[in-house]
Amino acid sequence: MPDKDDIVKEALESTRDQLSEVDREKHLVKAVKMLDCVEKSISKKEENFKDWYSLHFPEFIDEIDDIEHITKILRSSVERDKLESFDDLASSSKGADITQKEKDILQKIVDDLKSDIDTRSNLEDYIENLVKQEMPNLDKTLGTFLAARMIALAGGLEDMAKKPASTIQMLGAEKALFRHLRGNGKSPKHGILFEHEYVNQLPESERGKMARFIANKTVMAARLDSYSDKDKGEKFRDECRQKYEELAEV
Amino acid sequence: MEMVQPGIYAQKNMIYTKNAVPGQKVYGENLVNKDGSEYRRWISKRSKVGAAVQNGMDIELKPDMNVLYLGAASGTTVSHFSDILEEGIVVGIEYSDTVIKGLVELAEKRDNIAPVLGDARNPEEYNQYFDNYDYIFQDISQRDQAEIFLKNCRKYLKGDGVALLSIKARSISDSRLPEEIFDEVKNKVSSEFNIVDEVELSPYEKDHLVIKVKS
Repeated sequence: MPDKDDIVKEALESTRDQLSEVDREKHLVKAVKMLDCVEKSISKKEENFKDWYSLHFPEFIDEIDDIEHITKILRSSVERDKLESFDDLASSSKGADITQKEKDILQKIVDDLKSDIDTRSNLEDYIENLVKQEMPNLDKTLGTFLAARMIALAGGLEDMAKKPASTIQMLGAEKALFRHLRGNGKSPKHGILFEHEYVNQLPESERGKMARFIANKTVMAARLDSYSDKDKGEKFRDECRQKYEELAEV
Repeated sequence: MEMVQPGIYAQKNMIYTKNAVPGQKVYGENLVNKDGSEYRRWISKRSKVGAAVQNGMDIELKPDMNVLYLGAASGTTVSHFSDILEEGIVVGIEYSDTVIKGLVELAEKRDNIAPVLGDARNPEEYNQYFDNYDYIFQDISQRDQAEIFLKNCRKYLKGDGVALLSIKARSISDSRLPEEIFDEVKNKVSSEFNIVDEVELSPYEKDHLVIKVKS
């Protein structure tokens, strides 16, 4: 009969070891979720900020659309008379003057947006590096960010490698799939795979075939990335392109 | 406080176990001091074994048993097992590395819990601990919960051992009647073991049945 204290000790130690193993894919899954969240936050704030700032300087907002660009210009000051190279627009502006209090708060919002945008680009760099390094096959087959998103939906690289291609094809279309299985609605042909350039550029009738094809290649790529070092990403990509050209001709 | 089963106490229609680590709560339960001992309330809504005891099942867990606990999660029920098993030990198997963190924390404070990160579908994964157990309890919400239970009982249950299976009908099928699902599971189990007792967990849990088996 083994000693109880030994068993407790052994189990605790081995479980602690397993828990502290570095699992980079888990970080990837969380990073992708965080990226989605930051992107949503930016687009909401962007809309509201532009709206608000239009009260003061509508011409500027009409002129420049890109929020990253806007935050760069407004970083030092939000007051229209203090902006360099916008003198003409500023002097003829139809917007109302703003008080110091409004300047302060708008400046704060610009800073906030700027920091969100920095976070977003950091996250994107991080995800890109991780995907390129840890899953070269998926990276080439799907493209960096689609690969990252699909890994996040599948729950990790190994989880993805263990799934059948038909499941991969449906990732992101769960709602439509179960609606279909319950007997209402058409069967979905693709979930997030729609974001793949070879899928969304085809006519609707061909997308299902393309998505099925890519899903097959994706699973192969995931298995290679998970269990071996082989690099067949280019080959998968070429095969997908051939299939795409075939389908596009019809 | 009146002892209703070994290590399990009852007072005013509520059940308790004697706290092995006085002063410490595990999942937000109440602590009660009585006759110089501290008792932890066993909340039946949070624990299927608690609900089974509350509904009148004699779980036949004795303080000197070695227990294999499948689906230990963060250790809510395991903590009460740990209270009861004054001389025994509970080996808790959990698949998810997220929830097992709570169990590890619990095991650090108590000396009779062995947390194991593993898959109950492959009983070989944890064969380095004991060759067999006096008691097996399983609470796993999976479609193949009956098969998992049988696999483990075959490999680990002692000839005179007791095993408890908590069946969640809704993880087997969403549309069929719970009674039909319970019958199906019971048929599977009784082809190899004797079902000696069963109890439904309402009102604490919906569509749950706990069965007690012996070989």
